[in-house]
Amino acid sequence: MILLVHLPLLGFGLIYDDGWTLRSNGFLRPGQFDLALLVSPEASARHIPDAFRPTLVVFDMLAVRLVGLSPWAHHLISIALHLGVCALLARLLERLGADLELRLASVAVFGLLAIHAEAVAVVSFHEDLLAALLGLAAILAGLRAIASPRRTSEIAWLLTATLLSALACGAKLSAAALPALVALLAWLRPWPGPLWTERRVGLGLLVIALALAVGVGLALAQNFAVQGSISPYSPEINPRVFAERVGLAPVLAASLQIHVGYLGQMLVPIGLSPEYVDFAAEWTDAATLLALLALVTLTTLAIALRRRAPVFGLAWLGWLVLAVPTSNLIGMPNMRADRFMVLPSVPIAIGLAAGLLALGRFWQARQAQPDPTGLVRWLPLAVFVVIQGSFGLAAARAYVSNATLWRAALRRAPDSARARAMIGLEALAAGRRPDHVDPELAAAVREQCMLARSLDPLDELPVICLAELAVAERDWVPAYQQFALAVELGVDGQRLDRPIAALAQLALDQPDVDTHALATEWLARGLSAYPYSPDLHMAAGRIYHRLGQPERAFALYRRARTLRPERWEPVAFGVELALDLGDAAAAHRTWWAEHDLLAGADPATRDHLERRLAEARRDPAFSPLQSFFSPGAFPDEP
Amino acid sequence: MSPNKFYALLVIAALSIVVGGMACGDTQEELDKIDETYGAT
Repeated sequence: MILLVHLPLLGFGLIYDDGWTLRSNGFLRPGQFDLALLVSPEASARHIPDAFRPTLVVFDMLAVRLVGLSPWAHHLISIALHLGVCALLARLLERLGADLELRLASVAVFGLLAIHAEAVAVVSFHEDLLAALLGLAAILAGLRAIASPRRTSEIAWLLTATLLSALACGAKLSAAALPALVALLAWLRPWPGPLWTERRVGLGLLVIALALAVGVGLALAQNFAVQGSISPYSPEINPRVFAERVGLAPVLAASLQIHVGYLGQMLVPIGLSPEYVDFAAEWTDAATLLALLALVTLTTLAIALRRRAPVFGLAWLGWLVLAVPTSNLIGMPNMRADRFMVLPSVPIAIGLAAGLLALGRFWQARQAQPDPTGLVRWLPLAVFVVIQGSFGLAAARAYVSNATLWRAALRRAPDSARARAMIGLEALAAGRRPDHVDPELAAAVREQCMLARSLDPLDELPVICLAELAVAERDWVPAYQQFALAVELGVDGQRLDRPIAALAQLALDQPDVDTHALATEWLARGLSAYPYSPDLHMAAGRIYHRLGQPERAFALYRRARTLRPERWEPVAFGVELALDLGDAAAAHRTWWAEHDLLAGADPATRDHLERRLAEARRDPAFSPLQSFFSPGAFPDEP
Repeated sequence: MSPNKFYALLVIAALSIVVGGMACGDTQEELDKIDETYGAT
């Protein structure tokens, strides 16, 4: 049923960060991936996307090698991961002694909870699903250790649990709270069952918690090795974290309200959004005090009723514990996101399922007529999952494409600077012509960019929006100034390859400067910092081509092609460069060999190249046979 | 309740959700015309 409900996602595109982490991530391509880099500071120095999540990077690399960039296949992987989490949840509940009804109900609730729409519908959020999948697998491996008859197999299972915990945290540090969940299970013992009759089970669970904690430590050590900090969002790496601007106390006050919001959305799935604006709150605000009261009351109840209602205790305290990594105690670049609830919703789903089943039993007992089908007992659960699934699927439709994503984001969060900037960039990219931009479109885009800039003066995206607009208007000086400002604002330096590529190209059209020196200076900076960026290598090739350095240009075109073989641009530019050098044979060979790829080129480029190739063929020295045997412009790669 | 009836109910529930999801959604579906964005998380 969960699979059926999620099948419409197969028609969705690659959106959000998929361009950065998959499409334009040259590190994932054959010959570029190097596992050893993921435990070295070089990973940060070379700006490998998500280098502090090595499990995710390896997973993405395997996925790209396996299915290429086919969006439906990546969405199928997302659905498979989600189903995997559901299956492991069922298995874990079985091991803990929960009955079949509760196992089925918990999986149905977890699998169809609307708040998971974002995590399942966006390919670049595999990190949350992987962390949940590997984290639950780590607990199950630990439980196998308790039941192992021999000491050697016990140690082997504990080591497996440690490894899986490290891999889970290597996907996302949201799994770092799982050792505390295991300790909670040891304390609450929510169900009777064979597990709890094992000798010294309490001690065994604490050993499992310790094994998982060692895994967490390994993941933190990787983070430290890569970026010199255990948090990817520490102030020295990312000073744009909101707590750095307003202080931790107002962020934590807001976080209380946010967490009550999460709970509300897990019960009644209204207001789910791809975007939430960071905000600060006072501890004396009514909303903060009410949220604090609700959280403290429920926590007190869960502790007081832990013997009479252990499942409620597990659901509530488990949620609290698993929400800690994303609770803003440690700074996060987004204070709130639906995807943060993937792991914390596991105990909540169990609690909701138990409550809905209890409600069904209560209702069945109150029926005047006996219910021979037994359906009444399941009715509350069925209504809940149908509502959650419907709202989840509706929320997921925001993630069909970037255009739908940012429109939905702006509708939900009109004060979001990045949503406005992205809307401006999308509108410009979709509406501009090669040599001009419609004045009405330019005015609309400028309004979005300026508004975005006023909403968050520290965000580089509104500045990039203005820079791209200036490029579309062929206004090279302001375009250069805006891109330079964007690079200055892009403090974490993660995604500055394209602005730097633009700056190098624009440098050639700046007045009153040594344009060549300026362009090569930007290129030197960019190419050393972003060696896996196909866009930057392509732009650099274009610049050296224009500056009359063909060997260098060829090398850069070839690397751009290796980093992203699906793009026609480096191939077309390589053909053009071969023609410029008088090597008609290599140009023709590449033109013929890459016919399918170049069929996707824009008509102007194709016409231009076809004309030049025809001209070259008129040369008496031209030989088709020689062209056929030529290695072409790209002899070795990709 | 027989397993066959149970599975049939699950399929009906899934289809209800798909139909419900389509009905509740207010987003106009369209795929991107461009495949390059700056990303934003």
